[in-house]
Amino acid sequence: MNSIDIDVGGTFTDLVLNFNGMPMIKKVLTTPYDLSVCFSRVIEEAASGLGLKMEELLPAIDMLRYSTTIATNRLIERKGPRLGLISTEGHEDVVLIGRGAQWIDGTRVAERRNLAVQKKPDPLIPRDMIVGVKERIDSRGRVIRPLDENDARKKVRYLASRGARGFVVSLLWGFLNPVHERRVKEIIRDEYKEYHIGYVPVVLAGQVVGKLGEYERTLAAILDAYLQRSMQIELSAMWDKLREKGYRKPLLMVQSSGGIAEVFRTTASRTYNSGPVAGLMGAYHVAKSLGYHNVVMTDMGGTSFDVGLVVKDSVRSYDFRPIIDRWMVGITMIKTLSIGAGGGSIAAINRLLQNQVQVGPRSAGSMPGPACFNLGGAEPTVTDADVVLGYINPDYYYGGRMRLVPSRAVQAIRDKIAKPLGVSVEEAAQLIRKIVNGNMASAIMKEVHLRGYSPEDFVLFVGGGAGPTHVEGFKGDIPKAVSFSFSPVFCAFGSSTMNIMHVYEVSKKITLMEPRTRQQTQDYETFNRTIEALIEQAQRDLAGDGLDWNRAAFVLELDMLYGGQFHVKRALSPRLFLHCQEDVQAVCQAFEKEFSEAFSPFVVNPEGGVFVESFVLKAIVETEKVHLPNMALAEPDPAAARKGERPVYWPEAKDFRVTPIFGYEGLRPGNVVEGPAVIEGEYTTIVAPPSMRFSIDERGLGILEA
Amino acid sequence: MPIPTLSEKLEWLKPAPMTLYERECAAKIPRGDYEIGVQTTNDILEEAMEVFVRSSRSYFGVSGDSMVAIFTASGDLVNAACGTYLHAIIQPIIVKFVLKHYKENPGIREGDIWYTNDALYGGIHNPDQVALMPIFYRGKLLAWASAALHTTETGAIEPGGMPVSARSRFEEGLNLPPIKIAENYELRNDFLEFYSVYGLRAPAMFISDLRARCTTADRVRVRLLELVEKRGPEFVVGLLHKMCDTAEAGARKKIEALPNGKFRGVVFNDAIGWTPALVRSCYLTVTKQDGRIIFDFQGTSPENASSYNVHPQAVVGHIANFMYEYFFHDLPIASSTFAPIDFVFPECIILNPSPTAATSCCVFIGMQTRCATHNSFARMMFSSANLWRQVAASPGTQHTSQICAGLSQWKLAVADILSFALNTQGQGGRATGDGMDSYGFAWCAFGRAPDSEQVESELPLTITLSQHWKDSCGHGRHRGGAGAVQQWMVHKVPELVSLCMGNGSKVPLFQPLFGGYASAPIPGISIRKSDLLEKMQKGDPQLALDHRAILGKDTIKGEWKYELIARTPQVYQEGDVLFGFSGGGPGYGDPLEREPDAVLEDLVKQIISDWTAQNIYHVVYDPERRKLDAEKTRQKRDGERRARLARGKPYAEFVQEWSKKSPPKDVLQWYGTWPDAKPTGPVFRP
Repeated sequence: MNSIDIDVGGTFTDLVLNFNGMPMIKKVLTTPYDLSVCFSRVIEEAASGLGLKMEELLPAIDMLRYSTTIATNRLIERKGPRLGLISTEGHEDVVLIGRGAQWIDGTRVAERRNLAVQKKPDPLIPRDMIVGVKERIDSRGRVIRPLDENDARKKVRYLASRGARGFVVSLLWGFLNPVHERRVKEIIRDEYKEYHIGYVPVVLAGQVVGKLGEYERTLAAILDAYLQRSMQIELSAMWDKLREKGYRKPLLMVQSSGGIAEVFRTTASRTYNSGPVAGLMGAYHVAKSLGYHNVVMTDMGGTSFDVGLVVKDSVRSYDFRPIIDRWMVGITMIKTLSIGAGGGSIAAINRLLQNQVQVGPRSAGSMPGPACFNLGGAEPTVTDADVVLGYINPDYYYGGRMRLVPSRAVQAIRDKIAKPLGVSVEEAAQLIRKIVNGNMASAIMKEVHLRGYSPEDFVLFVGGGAGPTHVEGFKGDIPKAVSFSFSPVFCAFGSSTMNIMHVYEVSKKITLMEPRTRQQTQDYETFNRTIEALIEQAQRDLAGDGLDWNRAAFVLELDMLYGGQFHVKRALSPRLFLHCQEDVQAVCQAFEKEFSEAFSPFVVNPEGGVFVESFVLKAIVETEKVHLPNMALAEPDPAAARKGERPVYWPEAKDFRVTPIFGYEGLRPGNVVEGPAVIEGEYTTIVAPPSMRFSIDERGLGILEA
Repeated sequence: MPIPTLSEKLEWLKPAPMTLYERECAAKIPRGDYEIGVQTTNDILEEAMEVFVRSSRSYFGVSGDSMVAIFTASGDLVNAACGTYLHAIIQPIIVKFVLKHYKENPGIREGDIWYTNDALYGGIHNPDQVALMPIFYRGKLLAWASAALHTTETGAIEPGGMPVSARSRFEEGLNLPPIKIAENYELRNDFLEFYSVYGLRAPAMFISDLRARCTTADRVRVRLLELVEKRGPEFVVGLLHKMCDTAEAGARKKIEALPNGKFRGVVFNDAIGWTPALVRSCYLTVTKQDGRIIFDFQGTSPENASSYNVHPQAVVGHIANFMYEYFFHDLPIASSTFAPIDFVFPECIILNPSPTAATSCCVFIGMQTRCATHNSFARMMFSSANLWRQVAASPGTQHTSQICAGLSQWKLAVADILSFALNTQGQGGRATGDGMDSYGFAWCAFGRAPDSEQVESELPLTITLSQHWKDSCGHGRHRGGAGAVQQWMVHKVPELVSLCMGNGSKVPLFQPLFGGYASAPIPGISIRKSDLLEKMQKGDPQLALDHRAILGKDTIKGEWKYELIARTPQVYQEGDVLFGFSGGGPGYGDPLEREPDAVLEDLVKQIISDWTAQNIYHVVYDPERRKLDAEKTRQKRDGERRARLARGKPYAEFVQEWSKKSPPKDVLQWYGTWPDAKPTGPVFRP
C-alpha cells in the first residue's frame, strides 16, 4: 500500500512517504499563515524526490493521513465566528466562572505563581451572547423542569439578533437525557431553516462529549463550533487540491484518542495534540514489532520536549481533562507530557537566585529563532550552544539549506551567560546543554516513576530534529537509546501505523459492588444495554465510512472509582458484556489491579463500593502497517561514511578535541561508530560521546549505548 | 513533654545554622549540577503531589489543597509542591520539636512515619494533618519528607472538622501531638484501630487520607534516596543546603529593595462562633529596617472562648500565602525565605491564645492577618518603581463553608464541604488592573471548584443556580473580582444535615486600598418548605432562576430565614433551599477614576447593576443601548467630587467626633477594652 503521512509542527512540516515498499522522509518549513502551503509543498518535495510531479504521485497513493495544528493556530488567532451559547437558566456563567482558577489552565507552574499579573483568558463567547433557557434535568436524567419553548424561542431570537453565526447548546445533564438539547436544536432549525441565509450550525454539547462535567463539556462544544468553519474551509481547500491533483482515496485525520478517522467525521478539538500522540502510537507499533514491552518515546523539537510511554505493550494512559490553549475540555486524550525544552529554548541567568542558570521554558521559536539563525534573535538558545560546542555543523543545518552564523551564537552566549558568570563561552555553552539535558532526563524519570517503573526497565526511542543531538544527555539511566532513519519525522511516521478508530464515551453511573456489604450487582441488563447502544452507533459510523464493521474489534474501557472518591481510573474491561457474577468480579478485579498499580495499594478501598462512572467503547479497524526491513549486516568499520573531522567540545575532556564526523546516510547496518563522534544527517545530528558507541542494526535502527 | 513555647516556635522558623560538613557539601556543588538538582527535587515533589491528589479521598485532597515537602536533616523546609502555601514556612516547627524531644525516646529511626494535627505543636488547625518521614542513608539522617492535607472530619462536637461551637481544644475532637504511627515502613495497627474507634464520623475517609499522606511522604523518601544512590550523600546534603541558602539570599535581596518605615494594617471581625461580636482581629505594624521586617501584632483583641483563635505559627502560615503569591513569587518555596522576618505576638491575644484555646476555625481569623499584610505591604510597595505592580488588595475570602452530612442517594455516608463557594472568591483589585472574577480560593489559589454535575452526582442536592454574584465586588478604579452564588436544593433523599462556618455577615472583613470600596458581606439565607421544586416541575414561566430576581422579588415561596453565615447543624428536608456565596474582592482606588467604558463592560458582563454604575461610578449612559454619555459622566463625577468636599470635615474634627462613637456593648464581649482592645480578664473554658 502506498501512503503519505504528514505532521505539521511549530517549526517544520514532516512527511513520510511509503511508495512501492520504499520509505522516504521530507521536511519543509511550516507556513503558519496558511498550512495548505506547507502541506502541498512537502508533497511536492516528496514527489520530486521520486522524480515525479505531484499529480503523478497522488493517483498512486492509497491513504493520506494528516496530523495538524490548525485547531491550535486558529484558536490562538481568535478568528472564529460570533457564537451564541444556550445553557440552563441559572447556569449562564459556567464557562466564565471556569471552575474558579481557570487562569491556571494552559500555564506552567512557574508562570502562575505571581498573582499580581494573572488574567483569565478572554472568553470565546462573551456574556452578552450567553442565555439560559428554562429547563432542568436532574442527575438521574429525569426532567424536573420541562423546557419552556416560548422562552427558548425568545432567547434564540435574541442571540440571532445580536449576530450569532453559530449556536452551542449545553444543558445540564444533556448528555444523559438529550431531550431538551435536541428540542432546542429543533427550535433553532425551525427559526432558521437550511435554505435561509441565516442558517447557522448548531452544536449540542451532549453529542460532542457524553460525559459528566458541564464546564469541560461546554468548552469542548464551544471549541468545535468555534473552529469548525475555519477548519472546514482550510481542510476542504486541501482536499480539493488533492483531488485536483488526482488523489481519490480518503483524507484521514489523526486524533488525540490514538486513532484516525475520515476528515469529515472528525471534530476540531479531537485533532489537538495529534502529532505527539501519533509519535507515541508509532513507538507502540515499532516496540511491538521489535519485542520491546516498555518504551519511553521522546520528541525534542524547536520549542518543546514531548514524552510518552509504552508500558507493558500498552499506551493506555489518559488525560481526562486536557487543556487546549487555555481551555479545559472533557475529551479524553492519550497522555503525553510536554516540557519547554527544545532547540529554541532560551538560556538566562536568574540574578535573584545567585545567578542560577535557567534554560526554557521561553523559546525563540522559529522566528526570530536562535541567535545563530541570524534572523534578529539575540537570546542564547540550546541550538546556539550546540553550534558553539561544535555538535551542529553550521554549514549543514537542515541539509545545508539554512546557513547558521556561529559568531551570533558566540556573541549571545558570551553577553548573556558567560560574562555575567565569569566563565568562558564554551563553558557557558556546555552549561546550557547540561541543564537542558538534565531537565529532560528528570522529566523522563518522573513520568516513568509515576507509572511505577524504573528507567532501567525501558528502551528510549528518539524523535524530533533535536532529539538525536541531545539523547546522550537526557537518556539518563535508560540503557539503550534507539533512533531511526525517520527520527526527525517520527510523528509523521507514527500516523502511518495507526488504525482507524472510533471512540464512544458515555457517562452512566452504575454500582458494580455495593458499599460496605460488597454485594455485587445482578443487574447485568443496564450495563449490557449501554454497550449495545454504543456498538450500534459504532456500526452506523463505520458503515458511513464505507468500512465493513464485521472487521472491527471492540474494546471496552471503564472509568471506575471507589465510593467517596472523585478521580476515576480508566480500566480495561476483561468483559464486553456481563452475564454472571464471575464477569462482575473479573471487572472489579481488573480495576483494583490497575488502580493499585497506578497509585498505591494503600488507597484501594472496596469497602466504599465499586462504581462505573463512564463507558468507553473503541471500535478499531486495523490498517496495513509499514514493517521495518531486515537487512544484511555489513562490517563494523564505518570508514566509508566518514565525512571528515572538526573540533568538538567534550565535557569529559573539558576542552575541544578533533572528532571524526560521519554522514548518517552513508552508514550501513552493522557499522559501529565509537565515540567520540558526530554523525550528521540531512535533518538531524547524532552525538556519540567518548563513553558511548552508535551502531546500526539489521533493521536500520541507530542504537546509542554505553 | 513540654508544648513548644512561642519563642521556641519563632526560633524554629529560622533556618538552623549550617554545620561545617553541610557548608562544605554545599560549596562542592558544581554549577549546572545545582540547577539540575533543583529541577530533580521539583520533579520528585510533582510526582509525589500527583500521587497525593489521586490517592486522597477528602475534597481538599482531590482538589490539591495540600503540600508535599522536602526538609534538611535539621528540619528546614527546602522545597515544596503546593497546593497551599499555608504549611510552607511553619512545618519546620514540627520536625524540630520531634528532633529535640524524641531523639532518644521513642527514637527517630529509618522507616518511621510521624504524624500530627495539633496546632499547639506547629500546625494550622486540627483538620490539617501531616505525615513526616525521616530519610536515612546508611544509618545517617539526611533529610525529611512530609505530606500535609486538610481532612474534613476530626471527631469534634460537630461534623466537618471545624466545630464552630467548640469553646476549648477539648471539644475539637482529635488533637494529636507528633507521634510515631509507623515503624520499619509499616503503619502500626494499634494506631489505625485507635483512629477507627476514636469517634470520627467518617473513619474510612480519615484512614484513607492518612494512608495517602504516608504513601506520598514515602514516595519523596524513595526518590530522594535514588538521588543519593546516584550522586552520593554529600551531593544531596549540599544541594539541600545550597537551595536553602539561595532562597534566603533571594529573600534578603527583595526585602532590601523595600523602603524603610512603619506600615500599619488593621482589620475587624464581626462574629465569634455563632454570635455577632466585634473584635480587632489583627492590629498589625510592619517595620522594615536594616534589611529586616518585623510583624508586630500589639493592639490585637484578646483571645476568646470559641474556636476563632489562631496560634502564632498559623498566623505566619496565612502571611506566607500573601508573601508567596505577591512578594516572594519568584523565590523557591523554602522556609529560609522568612529568615529576615521576625514576629512579635503579645500573650493571650486572639493571635496567640492559651494552650487550652480552641482554634479549629482559626482560618477565618488567620485570613484577616493576611488582609492586614496586603494593606501594610501595599503602603510599603506602591511608591517603589520595581514593586508597585505587586500591590493588590486582599482577596474576598468571606464565603459560605457549608457542610453536608447524611446518606447520599448512593446510600453512602457523606460528610464533606460544598466547595464551590470556597473556590470562586474574587481577587482583590490590583495596582495594574481589576481583580480576577471568581479567581479561586484564598488559601489555595490553584484549587478548583467542582462542576455542578459532579456535586449532584455525589451528593443529594440539585444546584438550581450557579452564577457570578452581581455587585459582590468592592468597587474602585480597579474593582475587586466578583464572587459567586449557588442555590442548593435538597433533592433525591428525604433529609440532610447541614451546618455552616464562617464570618463576615455584618461587617465587610477584607479591606480595600487607596479609596476603593470593601466588598459585600455574606448573608446566611435558607428557605424551608420552599415551592421551588413544585414550580420547576409545573414549568412556571414566571420563575426566573437568577439570584437577583430570587433574592429581590421573593419569587420562591417558603419559610425564608436570614441569619449569620455561621449556622448550627440542622436537618433540612427534600425541597429546602440554601444559598452559598463566595465573596468578591475589595477594590483599589477611587471608583470615580474608573474608565467609564470599563463600567459599561461590567454591566454587559452582569458583574454590577445599573444602580451601581449610576450611583457608585457615577456614569451616565443610555440604559437601553448601553451607550456612554462621556460629557455628562464627566459632569456627574465632578459634581460628586464637589459633594464629597462639602461632606468632608477637618481631620481633627472628624477624630473628635469619631472617637466618641462606640459599637453597642453586646457586640464588644470579646473585643477587650474599647477602643484599644486590651484584655479585660481571664478567659474561662470548659
